[in-house]
Amino acid sequence: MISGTITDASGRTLSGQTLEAFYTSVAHANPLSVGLNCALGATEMRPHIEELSQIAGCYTSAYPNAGLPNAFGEYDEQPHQTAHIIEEWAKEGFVNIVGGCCGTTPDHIKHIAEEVKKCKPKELPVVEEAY
Amino acid sequence: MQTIQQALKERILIIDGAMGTMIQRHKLQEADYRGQRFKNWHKDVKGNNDLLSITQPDIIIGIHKEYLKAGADIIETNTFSSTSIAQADYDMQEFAYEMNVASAKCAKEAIKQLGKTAWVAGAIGPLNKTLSLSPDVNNPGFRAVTFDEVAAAYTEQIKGLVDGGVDVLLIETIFDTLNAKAAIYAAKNFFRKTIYLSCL
Repeated sequence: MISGTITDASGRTLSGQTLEAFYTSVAHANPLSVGLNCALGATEMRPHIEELSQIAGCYTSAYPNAGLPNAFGEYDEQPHQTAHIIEEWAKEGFVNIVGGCCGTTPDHIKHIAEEVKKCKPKELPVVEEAY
Repeated sequence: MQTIQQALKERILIIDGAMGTMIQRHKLQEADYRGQRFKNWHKDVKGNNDLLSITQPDIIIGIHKEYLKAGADIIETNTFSSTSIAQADYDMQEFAYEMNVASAKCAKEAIKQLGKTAWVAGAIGPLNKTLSLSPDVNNPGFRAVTFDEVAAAYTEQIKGLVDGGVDVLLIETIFDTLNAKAAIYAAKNFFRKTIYLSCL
């Protein structure tokens, strides 16, 4: 399992790669899943997880922070808020593994688990043989 | 038991939430981090959360259990900084392997105590030193660490995680892809050289 971190709205990693470049760089490892975690809250992560879900040939994972930190470095996003956004991703069929990173608690996980229970996982794309 | 691959075909799996946030709630002090074993350690270790798997395993097992009860199918080991490179901040590089084994065992123990079906992901963090960026603004070509050193540190971590019994490895919070490549290289090499059957 491999999970990268997009640090801001530029959609790049700290070392400067776009998401597609990042995926292409690690795809040779043939991972069980590729995904995103940390740095962003679920709201900010949405466009990136959508893009990754479309390009990844393996399962997709996402575990965002509980929003963005406040001035004291604490996370204020409530469990039902995080869960609501992640449920959207599940309904859209973007994800196979979801959870939380910084600031998330068992309560966040409980809400996420309840919301995505009824959603179907993303199906693996059928990759055609290259000749 | 169903494999994680089989489960992924059927449903969306839930991975746990923050370990650090939960540890903070315990408001642990320097003496708690040290425990009996590191009572006289020559450096402060408060904040070395991975050490708690050795000195306060019941707290770590307790946090894992809370996440399992909340519905987590995959729990991550408390090993985000359990490499000789990251542990050098506390002069604890010699305990990196042991931390990984201890953390994997804490996670396995939590699952066993609850009698639940769940998988343990060995968490491999990004390191506090990066291969693609210079820490010195006046010398952009400088690197604080080499690829081989990073690969060696990750190899030791992976050995500890596998010996402790993890089901899968999770290379996470990648902000420098080259560090992740060193971890992938270490994992592939490790499994090639051993009889362990597992996956990345």
